[in-house]
Amino acid sequence: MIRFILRRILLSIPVIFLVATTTFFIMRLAPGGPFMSERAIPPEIQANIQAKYGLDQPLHVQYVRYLTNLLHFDLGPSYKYPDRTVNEIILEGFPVSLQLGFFALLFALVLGIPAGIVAAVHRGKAADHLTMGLILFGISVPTFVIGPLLIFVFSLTLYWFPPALWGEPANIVLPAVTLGMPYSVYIARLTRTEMIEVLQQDYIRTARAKGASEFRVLWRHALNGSLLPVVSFLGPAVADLVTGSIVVETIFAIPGLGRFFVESAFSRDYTTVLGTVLFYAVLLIAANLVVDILYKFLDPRIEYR
Amino acid sequence: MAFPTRAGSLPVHQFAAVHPFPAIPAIAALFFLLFSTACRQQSDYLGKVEPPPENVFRFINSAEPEYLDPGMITANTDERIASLMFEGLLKKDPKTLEPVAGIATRWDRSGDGLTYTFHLRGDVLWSDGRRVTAHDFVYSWTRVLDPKTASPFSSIVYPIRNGERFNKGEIDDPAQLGVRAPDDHTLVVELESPLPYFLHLASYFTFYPVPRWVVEEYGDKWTRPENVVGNGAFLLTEHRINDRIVLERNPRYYDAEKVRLDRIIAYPVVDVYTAVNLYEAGYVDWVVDNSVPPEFIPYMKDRYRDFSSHPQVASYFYSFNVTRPPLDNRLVRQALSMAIDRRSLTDDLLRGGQIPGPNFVPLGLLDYESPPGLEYNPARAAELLAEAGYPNGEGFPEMEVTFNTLAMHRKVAETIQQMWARNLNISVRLHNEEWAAYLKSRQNLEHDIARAGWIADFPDPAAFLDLMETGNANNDSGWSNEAYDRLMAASRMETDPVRRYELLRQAEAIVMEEIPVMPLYTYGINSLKKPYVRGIHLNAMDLHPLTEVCIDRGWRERTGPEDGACD
Repeated sequence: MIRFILRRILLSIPVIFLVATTTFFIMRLAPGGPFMSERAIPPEIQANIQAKYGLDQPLHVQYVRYLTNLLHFDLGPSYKYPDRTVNEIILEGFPVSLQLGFFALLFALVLGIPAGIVAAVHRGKAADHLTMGLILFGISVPTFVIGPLLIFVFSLTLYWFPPALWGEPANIVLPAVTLGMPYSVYIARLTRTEMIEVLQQDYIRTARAKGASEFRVLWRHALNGSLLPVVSFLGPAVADLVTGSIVVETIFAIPGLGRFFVESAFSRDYTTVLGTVLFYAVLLIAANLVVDILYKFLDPRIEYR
Repeated sequence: MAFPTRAGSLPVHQFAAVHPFPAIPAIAALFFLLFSTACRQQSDYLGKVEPPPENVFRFINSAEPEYLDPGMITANTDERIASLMFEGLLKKDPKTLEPVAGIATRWDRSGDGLTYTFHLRGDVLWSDGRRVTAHDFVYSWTRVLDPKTASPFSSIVYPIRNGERFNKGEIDDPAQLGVRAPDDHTLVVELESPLPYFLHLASYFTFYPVPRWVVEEYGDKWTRPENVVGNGAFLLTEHRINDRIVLERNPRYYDAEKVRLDRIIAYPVVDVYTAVNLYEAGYVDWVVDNSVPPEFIPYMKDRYRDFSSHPQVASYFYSFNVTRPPLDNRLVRQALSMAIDRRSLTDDLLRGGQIPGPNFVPLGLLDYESPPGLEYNPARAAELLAEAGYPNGEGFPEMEVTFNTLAMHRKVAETIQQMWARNLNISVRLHNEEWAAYLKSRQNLEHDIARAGWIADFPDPAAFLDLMETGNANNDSGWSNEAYDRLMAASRMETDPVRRYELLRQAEAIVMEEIPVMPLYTYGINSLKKPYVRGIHLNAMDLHPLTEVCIDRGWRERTGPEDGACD
């Protein structure tokens, strides 16, 4: 097991190196640079600015310097926000995305699993149709529609929650629901499908035959078995949620990392682009590793090589 | 938002359960919406009107500031914050924006208009208790011009004698710059030419003093809340990127009794819908900087008293690349310009308070009136095109209109495309590029026709006319005209304001005749301001000194003008 983990970590080093290299050079291929502005800067001044950030040096020199700094976990200063380092931007933005992602997931689970169970138990009846109908609605409507809809109803009409901003517990509600909605729908469908299958298994019939109450049958016997696919869905879903969503972060003016990730590419903030891409790469590699390890615990038949 | 790829490997047929009546939930949602709409009250003002419990003013700043260092700032989102933290020789009158006494209580101008002597107050302190002296100004202006500082806006300090040469590394000795401090309270400034708007510049953010000892100790990080020292009415106490900037009243400010607010919070909200939502729900008191979506404007204009729209000293125009055919031909450029119905563009399409016109210098400047230009005349336009050798558009090469990716720019470009097709029978391609790529193609003259816009740095026609001078870094048309350059040079030496405006008017007439740029309209500024906010005044520069803003809790009983001061 420890050998497996070590092996995976070692394997991920060339992957990260490759990501760093590709991103570094692809960003430089994009037209323009971080210090372009609508108010054109005289060439002499442009040269001064480039020199100040070492952008006047040959590309390979900049590349080597970047990799050297990377070995010290130094992602450099942001070109767009010069009084911040990229490390600071990630340290400020990521906890926000993490918090939002956590509550979105919590919402998805709390809504999705019971909805799936209800639909499965009442399969073919009104409750099932209603839940599945809502699910269809949730799948068809993208976050950039759900978000404004929720704001319109709960912020601008009922004045229950703030329509945007960050910092108070009340600020989390609407963005977490918006972000979690598609996941809850997905989880509900996974749960329903598995539950229907599990409910037809022999051991459920045995449990019922032994006179266990319906609640106990569902809670103790059926649920455990039907949650496996949900758990395996959670790994990648967590990684996806905590990386932040540009759409939700923009609609709700949330200072998460997702916006930096996208905006830095547009503003050619090379260091921030590289920093966020690498951070996400490491995060995804780690998430995958954790999921693989979890599989082992959930299903002992899986062997690590 | 994308789902993780792993989930995609699950068999799809598992989820093939389709509801027989998928419309039911949708209808339910619709009912709920209708119900909630009916509950909304009709009011003279948009949304909640409830003054904040504390003495705090909250506003939407349309983007996260890149710099709070006055010497590095180029954007008005940054200026809005920095002008609260720092104060220059002169302040701007909140109503007229005319320069008025600030740290300098009086100033003398020499007869030739080349030398200014400013006399500074002795009681102005930095927030760490040190005294603000004339030497701080010498240091700060020299710093902006120092090539090592690499200030992106150093060119605005070029009117100072030897400023440009020092900035471009042609001379090394800062002592040769036209700014010196004979003593702590006197600042002597020598200019390259008798610039009539120099006092405006003296109130401009690039000319603010910065604390040398803090800049030198912390480098790029000197503007962070834990390091920064200022001399303005407010102190930066919190700065979370993309979240908020909090400023608290500066007890050491020399004019502290005029400051009514305890705190100012600026939210950097990029999305215009989010901005208006926050305003409507009562979380912010002021939405400025065109953060009102244009499609809301016709609806809000006559309905809400807290909405306002007025011209901004800013021009929207198309830049023609005159270095290659067919746009090197003046007749073609005139034809293209005369084939555009600008009024239809602003009144039917945009409807956001823009003012159409062929004038390059926008409306909104006092005492200046643009010369008449080529008005909409499709018949004459077709004749001109025929004269240029393209009767009925025959043989006219297909050109490209380049614009930065934004729905509004596309709408404008599509409308112009149609007008040219209808009136001249020519076709152009539309080509959008994201911001950085668009700037690059414009500045490298890679375009045929490019959308452009310009906002005045100071309230003077020269803020626009300078652009078209030969060799100006912002002249994105490749145009060069000797007579024009002569007029502009003469205007710089002219000390009589009336004669100077006349020279500028003649220069503008050349641009409007030659059409290296095709002006379309003057921008409108749209803003929302809660009725309990006092001390913010509409002006065409869209500059708003916030030092004297206050929250008027008795606003409902008040009958005076809505933009009156607090008392």
